[in-house]
Amino acid sequence: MEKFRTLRTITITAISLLYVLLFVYASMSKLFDYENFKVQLGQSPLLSPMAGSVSIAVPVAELLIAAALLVPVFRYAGLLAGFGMMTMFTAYIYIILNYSEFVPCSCGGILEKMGWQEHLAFNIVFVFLAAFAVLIYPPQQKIKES
Amino acid sequence: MKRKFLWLLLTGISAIAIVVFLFGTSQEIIHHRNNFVRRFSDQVAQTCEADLKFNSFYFAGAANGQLYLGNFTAPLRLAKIDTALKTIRKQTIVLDRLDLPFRSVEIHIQNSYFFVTDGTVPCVFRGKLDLLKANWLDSKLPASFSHIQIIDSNSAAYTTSDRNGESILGMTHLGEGAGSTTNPLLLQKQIDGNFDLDGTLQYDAIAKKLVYVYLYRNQFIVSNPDLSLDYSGNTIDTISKAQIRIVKISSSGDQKLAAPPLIVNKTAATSRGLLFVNSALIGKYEQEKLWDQAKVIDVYDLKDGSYVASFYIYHIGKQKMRSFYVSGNMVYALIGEHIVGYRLTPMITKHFIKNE
Repeated sequence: MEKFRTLRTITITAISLLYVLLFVYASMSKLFDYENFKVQLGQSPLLSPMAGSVSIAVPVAELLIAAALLVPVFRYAGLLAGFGMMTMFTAYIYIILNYSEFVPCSCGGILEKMGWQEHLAFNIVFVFLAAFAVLIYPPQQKIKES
Repeated sequence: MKRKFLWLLLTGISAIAIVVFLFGTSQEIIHHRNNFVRRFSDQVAQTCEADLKFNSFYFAGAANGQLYLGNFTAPLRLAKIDTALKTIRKQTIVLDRLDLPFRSVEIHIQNSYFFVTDGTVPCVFRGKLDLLKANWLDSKLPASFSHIQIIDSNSAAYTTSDRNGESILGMTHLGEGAGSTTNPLLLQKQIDGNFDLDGTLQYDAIAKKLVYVYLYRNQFIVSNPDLSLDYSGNTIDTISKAQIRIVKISSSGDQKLAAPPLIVNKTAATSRGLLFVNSALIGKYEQEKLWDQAKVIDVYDLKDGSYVASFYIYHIGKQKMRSFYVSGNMVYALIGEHIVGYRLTPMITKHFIKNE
């Protein structure tokens, strides 16, 4: 049982840190090239009229979630929020690929090497990781760092 | 465990709902109440080019798979060029009257006819395109007109001035004994009724609509060939009121622009139910450096005035596009001494009225 607990703690911590890495990297690459990011969002078939507000909201939300994941008390909430965020990204890509009148040629700064299909697969993996971490999360905040 | 599933489900569903909602609203905003965010159709690209050797050409029209270009410095010369811009043939047209005080001759092609007009005379000639000989038409024309558009072989629309010198739209049935009419209500005065009403007139023979695009404000008027109003639409920029200042020179009584005006929509073209407008204003989230390299054309659907998409026409060296023309799935632009052809993408062409 003790072994299971340790394994569980390690898994949750690993997924959380993976998320922290992804979100910090993603938000920083957006903020460091903010003008470019805003222009690209402006060309997005889905969000262009709200590019101004969305271009702020997304990196800020990513940083907040990353911060929450680093604090044990907020980790559960952070995982749930990260799950929601990744679901939104995934839905966004899915809509662009299937319902948009055109697929924009550049994909918003992060992970530009990936194609849209790979991006979709990558996102889905992250969605499942977060869901898994939430499901195995111990009831209440019983994970002690000891 | 069950509660966690519920939480995940709830979070997942609301996440998807938010994105779908954002998608829906942004589609609605872009097409119907655009807040000046353009959507560029990236793949509209140049496919052909030709050197015309002169920079005085203008588009006279298209017929039988050929483009026709008039020449402001050689008014009776007509250049014919195929739609792939490969071969140019120059022709000379003949008028049956040369005793008129010509000052600004223009040639217009309409199906198998060509028209020679001069709004300063005023006069209209008509001839068969294959014969290249035009006859003067004894028509009821106003003392002067401009922006003439041929509606069909027997009628033309134009702008002229009323008794107070304010611009109005008019149309004439060409030929002896036929009438003419004006509609003073189409153009909406904002400042002086002259400068502020400046713009361009287009006729779409397939949609059967006349379109007047204001030069200094974000508006266009769509009317039927008999000058009855269909609707008035808006271009995507935010300049709803003409920003010009007019001074009256007291010594001569002339009205002049006191400051450089803010131009909104420079030139326009129509084709099969779509309106193409060369806008002079940069939208939100656009790269400024591209505006030093290209001109932007915005496309609207004349059915309801909704915005479709935008694309770039690139400068050639320092020379910028001065006019453009849409024929088939191509946009042709005159840039300096060159003519270039850009192919339109399905994102735009799917909105064309289908040819029967």
